[in-house]
Amino acid sequence: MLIKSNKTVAVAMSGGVDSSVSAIILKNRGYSVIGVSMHLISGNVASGALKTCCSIDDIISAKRVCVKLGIPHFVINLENEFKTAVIDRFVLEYLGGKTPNPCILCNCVMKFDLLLKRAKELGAKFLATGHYARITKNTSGLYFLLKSKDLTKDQSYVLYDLSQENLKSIIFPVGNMNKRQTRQIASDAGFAEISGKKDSVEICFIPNKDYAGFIKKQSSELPDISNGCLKKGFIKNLKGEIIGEHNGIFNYTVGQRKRLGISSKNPLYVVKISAENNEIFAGNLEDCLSDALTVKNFNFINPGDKNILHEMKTTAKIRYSSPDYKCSAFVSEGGSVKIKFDEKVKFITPGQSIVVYSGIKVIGGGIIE
Amino acid sequence: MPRIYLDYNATTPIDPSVLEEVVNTLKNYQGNPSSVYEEGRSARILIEDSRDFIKSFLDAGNSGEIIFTSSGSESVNLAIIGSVYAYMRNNKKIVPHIITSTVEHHAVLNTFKFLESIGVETTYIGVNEFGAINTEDIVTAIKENTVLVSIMGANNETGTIFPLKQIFEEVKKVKNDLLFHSDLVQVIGKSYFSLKDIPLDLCSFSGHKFYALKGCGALYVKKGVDIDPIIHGGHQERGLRAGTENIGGIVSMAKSLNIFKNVMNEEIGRIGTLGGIFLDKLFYGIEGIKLNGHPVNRLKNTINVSFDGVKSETLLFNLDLYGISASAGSACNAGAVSLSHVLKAHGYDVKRIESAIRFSIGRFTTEDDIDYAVSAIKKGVLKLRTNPA
Repeated sequence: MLIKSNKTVAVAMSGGVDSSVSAIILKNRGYSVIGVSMHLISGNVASGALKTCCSIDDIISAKRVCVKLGIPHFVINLENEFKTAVIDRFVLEYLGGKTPNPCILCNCVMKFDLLLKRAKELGAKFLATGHYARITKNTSGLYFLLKSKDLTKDQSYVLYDLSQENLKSIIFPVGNMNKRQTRQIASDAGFAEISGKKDSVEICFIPNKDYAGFIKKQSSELPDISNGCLKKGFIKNLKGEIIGEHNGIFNYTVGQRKRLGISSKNPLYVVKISAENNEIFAGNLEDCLSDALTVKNFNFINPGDKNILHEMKTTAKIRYSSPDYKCSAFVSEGGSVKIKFDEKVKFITPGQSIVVYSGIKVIGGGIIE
Repeated sequence: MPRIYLDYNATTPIDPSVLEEVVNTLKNYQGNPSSVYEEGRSARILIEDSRDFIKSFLDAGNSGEIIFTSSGSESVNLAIIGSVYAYMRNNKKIVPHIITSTVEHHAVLNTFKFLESIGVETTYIGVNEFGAINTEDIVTAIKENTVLVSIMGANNETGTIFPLKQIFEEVKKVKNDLLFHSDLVQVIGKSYFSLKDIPLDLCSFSGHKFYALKGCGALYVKKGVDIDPIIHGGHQERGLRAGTENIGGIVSMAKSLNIFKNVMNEEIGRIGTLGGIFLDKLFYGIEGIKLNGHPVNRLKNTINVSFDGVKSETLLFNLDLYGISASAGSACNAGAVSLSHVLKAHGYDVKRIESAIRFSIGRFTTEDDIDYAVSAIKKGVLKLRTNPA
């Protein structure tokens, strides 16, 4: 009566082609597969016409795939957890002048912590997702996180916060394929309608991209938020002279050039946001260049790498779509990780994550302060 | 894997003889019942025969009092919105007031919320920890402008039965001209009910809760009760519900109620006994469980229990993997489980609500099913208790 738990895998199904193909692959490999989808937001956001990554339509589409594959499908209600762990933190960071990446939190907290736990309660030994990334294990039992085979689709960036313990229970079935192969498997298996689905790119809980409006609305519901963060304030140049006015710091991100409302000969960029003083500092492109940064809480995929970090040939990404910048990295005495780029890079943005690689191997990462 | 279905309050399997009747009807009666020629006439008569039967089944006064709809929810909407609209049409300057309980089905509660949003006054009467309602609370809530009181017969989640007759009589004593509606979706076709016994103004029921088809329901509207339609169009259903009749659904309801009428005593007795056995075996076999709702005044087919230290969502999914179908709270379209508003209204703590599961049995449940289910539930509960997340 009981399913064999050692071969049971839960697949996180978003309704998209990558997770659907992951389920198909694992089923063909003989696993006992359970589809799981997260219910993260309700109300107008999830049910509206706007496309999000966990909308009712997507959950139905995941369910359809599971029914067709003859596997169970469960919708795990993580609405409260998502609100606390992702949305509220996103809003707080924004109000603090940072530019957070909520997808990282969602992956590491929602998927690989909470959803993984729930999957285990259903008797699954593994959780699989449709991420383009790879996991390998060496002979001494250490796990490594690698970029996907198809570098143009690589999603290892959002996975830098995983632990050895996590990696033990995770499978990325499409990590060794390119998108074309993935789509092919979907259409060969009779899922033509999902094989052509577009990738989700927007922040799922702000599908209309109106970040400022969203933050304004959410912050009114958060306790302990002084409305100061929403107030107008000064825009200053780097000499500290007032050159304009801003509409509340949450409307701005580092590197922003448009909508500053200041006329200037050279294009002006947001260089720094000071939440304490409700001030924005603007400068020209050179002012946005920097060749070093420090990360206080840096997660090492492989804790042993701490000791040899300075010897590695490393590169780093400073946001999801950033190029790999050559850099050197070392652990300072206080335990934080210092990164020195070979050349100056522009728009290092507090709140975004830096991820350090050695070749295709993810060393780890953390949030830029 | 064999499946054991323990969710009869969500929907029932179609009785095989009902299905046969429906298939014959769909094959042989394809005319529009409103058409003036032979195909129309025969379809019309089939519908009216069904209406007549349901009228006598409910001990209603005349057949015109039965309005066929698409569902229990539509019936409830028609009853509540229709009453309020008719009142507003006749009393332009008065804001209508309506009363219900906090443990009603969403069909009632969300209809109330909608009316609230267009300015209608509402009152929600709470229940105690056993799900019992105080009739006095309802009576004292009645005001000059109270148009309608809507109180369910039996709760879909806990099975708790309200003393409908007493509530109805007390309410009518205070204000005879208000309308009394009852959501009887969990009562009609499963328990004893007669309009002679409780002469309600309006009551709603639904075919798929008593072995008929999904997508058909009915509203009883007592003769002389003035309600407005909410679906406008043709003159079907005395002008109260436009739209060509769902002949298969209507026939399925009449046939189902006919079957029930013949087995009523035996079936109510058997399911009652089986429900008792189920409850005893659960409480005997598993420690740390609580019965939710009323211990005595309840539908014996419904067992709502909380398992200490177990998340109901996880237990439900595990039970599904063991082949057992049950439910918790209310599920949205996509199947996410949310906390039960009914159990919240009982004043239970979150832990108790989060660990509550509803089992509901019916015509095709056997004692073997119960034995298997109890052992699977026990296994699932013990597993989740030893490996908490």
